[in-house]
Amino acid sequence: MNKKTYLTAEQIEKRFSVIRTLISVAVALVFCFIMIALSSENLANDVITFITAPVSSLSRFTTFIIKMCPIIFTSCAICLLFQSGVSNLAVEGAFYVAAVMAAAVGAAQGMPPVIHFVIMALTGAVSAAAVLLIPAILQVKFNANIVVSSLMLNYVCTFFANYLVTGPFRDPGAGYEATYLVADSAKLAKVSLGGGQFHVGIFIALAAVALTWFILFKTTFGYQCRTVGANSRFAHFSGIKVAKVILLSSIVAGFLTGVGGATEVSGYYARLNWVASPQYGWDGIMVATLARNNPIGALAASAFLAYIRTSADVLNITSVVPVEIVEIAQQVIIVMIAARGLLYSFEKKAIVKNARKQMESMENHEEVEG
Amino acid sequence: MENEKIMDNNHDVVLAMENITKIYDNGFVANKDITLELRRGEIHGLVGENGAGKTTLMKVLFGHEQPESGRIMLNGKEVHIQNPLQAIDLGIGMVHQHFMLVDSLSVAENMVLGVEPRKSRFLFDHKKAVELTEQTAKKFNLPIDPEALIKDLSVGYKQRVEILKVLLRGVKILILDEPTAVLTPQETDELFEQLINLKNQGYTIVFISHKLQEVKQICDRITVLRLGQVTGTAELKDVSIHGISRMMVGRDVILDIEKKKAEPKQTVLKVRDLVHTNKFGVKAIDGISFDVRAGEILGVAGVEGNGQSELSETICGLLPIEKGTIEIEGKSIAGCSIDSIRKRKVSMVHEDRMIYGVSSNQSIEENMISERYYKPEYQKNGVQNKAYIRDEAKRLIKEFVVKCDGPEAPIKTLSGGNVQKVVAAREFSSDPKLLVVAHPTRGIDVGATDLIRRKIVELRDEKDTAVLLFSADLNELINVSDSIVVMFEGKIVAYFPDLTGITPEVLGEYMLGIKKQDDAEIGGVVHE
Repeated sequence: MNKKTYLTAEQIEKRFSVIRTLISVAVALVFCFIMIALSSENLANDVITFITAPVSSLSRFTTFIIKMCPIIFTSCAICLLFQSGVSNLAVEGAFYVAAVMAAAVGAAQGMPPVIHFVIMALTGAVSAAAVLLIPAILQVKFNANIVVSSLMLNYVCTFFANYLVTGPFRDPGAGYEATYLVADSAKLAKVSLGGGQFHVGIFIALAAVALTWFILFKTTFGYQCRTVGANSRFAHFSGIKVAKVILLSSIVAGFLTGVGGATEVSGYYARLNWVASPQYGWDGIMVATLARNNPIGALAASAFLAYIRTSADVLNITSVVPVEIVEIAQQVIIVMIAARGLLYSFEKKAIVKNARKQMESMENHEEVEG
Repeated sequence: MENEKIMDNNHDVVLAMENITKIYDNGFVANKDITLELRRGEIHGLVGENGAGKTTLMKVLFGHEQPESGRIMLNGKEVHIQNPLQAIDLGIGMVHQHFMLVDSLSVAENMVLGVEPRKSRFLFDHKKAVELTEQTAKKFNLPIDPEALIKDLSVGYKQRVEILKVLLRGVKILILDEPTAVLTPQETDELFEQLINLKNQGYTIVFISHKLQEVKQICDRITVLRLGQVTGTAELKDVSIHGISRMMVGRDVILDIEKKKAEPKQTVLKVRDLVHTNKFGVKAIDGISFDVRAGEILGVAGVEGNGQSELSETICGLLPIEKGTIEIEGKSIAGCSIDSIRKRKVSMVHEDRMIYGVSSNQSIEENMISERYYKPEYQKNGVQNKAYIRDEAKRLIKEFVVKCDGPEAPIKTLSGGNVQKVVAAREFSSDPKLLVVAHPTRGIDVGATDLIRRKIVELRDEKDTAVLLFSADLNELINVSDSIVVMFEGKIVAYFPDLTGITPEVLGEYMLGIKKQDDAEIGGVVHE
């Protein structure tokens, strides 16, 4: 039987979803190029640099890898939370606190290697989970709006972590405000490429992506999360314990965030010198939203963000173009993703046309609809 | 095919919708080349299953939707109806199934909403609004108190306000969408009187309904839709109910299901002296006691708002037990979560299927396992067994005849009847000891209705399930249940252990509080 296969409306929707993402990214890039053009003194060189910087040398490539790492962790945490319908934005503060705690543990002397890092990672995980649990518990027990309480908690975290770095954990021997040196036994192995090196934390990050994807789409817990996120009243009526899902997803997201914090400290820093949050939580939210809360997509989006940031950094050194162009591009992406109405009329026309063709072909072949 | 004819076989065609095609955003072809002719001064029934396209066609007529192709001819001239305001200007008015009234305002204020009379530019002329209301009510002989607040009115009166609203705006063609869905038999009779009255004054009425008995009673002609197309137009005097249903579903639908006599066994559900006070301080449930036995279907009749929702939700665990006891197989469910109640082999179909029955964005197979995903066949060590889930879904889709693109299709692509079939497939397939089912066939097509009712009886016969059936469809209650209790103002006012000779009119009198059985008769529903 020669039957032409038609798309389902759902498939057309998915295609348009991809097109929208690509357009968002494209528009953001166009913004970048416009700003380069406005500030550049050597347009051709600068554009080429922007496009190719991260892959133009092995050393720059390692920078790209390092930048990608922490964002992958936070975006995976956000993917899990948002899929569950839990808008716990304390990932931002949790990352900072976890990193500081991990740094403190990392400074301990006389620990066996590898195990030392594992303990750092566990410390980070527990710290971040504790932070994320606070808004979750407030929501479950007191029906306190989790968006509001988690946003406020970020400030508490920032000041708390700042206090730790400049106070109890501060190394008086260092010339600036920073924690004690991370012991060699705690440091992640490094891989040298060309003139630069990246740390193996990237592999831990990749593992985090795989783990998050597996949890969300293959486990019963992930099913509970997604069902609560899709319709919490339906989930409740089906017997799913919604409160448990909110708490557990915050804990697991906390583990992901905290391991990310520990990895960042152990891999990249000799000592932790952040006196302000590195903003990786917000990056994670943007990336997760761009990836529609799919961890694999979040990996790609993290790579994209890291790529243009590396380009901007290189451009900053080699030209007069300011580094802020990327931050502007980031915000443009956020606006574009939020615009679900983008291309809506085209999408609708495509669906209608598709249904029409199906209708007509059925008439011609006199197929009986079952 | 002749165009632009005003006289058609000596009949005055006031409105013609010609070759209307409408395709929705999700690709669903709701109307395919539909032609509908309305004659002046007739009550025209628009009949069809859910998903057949009736509501869509009327939305096109009323300006809520724009058709892909086709045209509308009013009194022989083509018109373009872009929005409801234009429809009203052209004399076409819609009385919606879900009332569009503001509860906190009075009847008069609702009547003039959008066309408010003014004293000067900015001041509302309240007196004039009341005057207009009284004039309209008098003109059409539909008495109403203009100062009464909507929230204090019964459903029947609210509907009257809706009808008066469109008449006030000078419409000549009224579209009524499932008007009797929320009325008691007595209120329905009153409505029909009003409609005939209007018809005799030259108004044209489109009567959208599933209830074939009523269509046969009140309509002059009908148009039958199936799967987005017209399958027939006829004078009511020329067709039988079976003829209509055959046009609707393409096969003979047996409207009354055949079932054997019930053989009830041990008590499964025991409710004693249950009380529930709602947030307004009113006792929604005011001391109720009854039993449901295995192998028995107990129907609960009552005008909506007399405690049925609270009762079903309390038994399911959505609401806590305030006072009284509920026992399932002898064990109390006080303080139990919905999860633990379900684990006692209780299945639940909530009246609000889109909120509690499914999640629209997830797939059919994901919706089918929402209460059983943790069981050993569906997962191992916390990892889901996707193959089993897929196969189970396929099996249930086949058994319940769910029309869909496959188990991965999202629920939002299904019509109402098919969504309910997914809910039924999930809740009926777990061999429940007790099934609490509320309004299972509300707003769904004849085919799905028939299947779900049969499945309920099947559960009773093959699995000895105790069924507690809440329904506003009295014919359904009488046909499917073995015995019926009637609820009024939170109490049970009647118990009919045997349904021979019980008609909707009989039930209606108890439902409206006109009659009440004595305690001995009501006590019959307590078997232990």
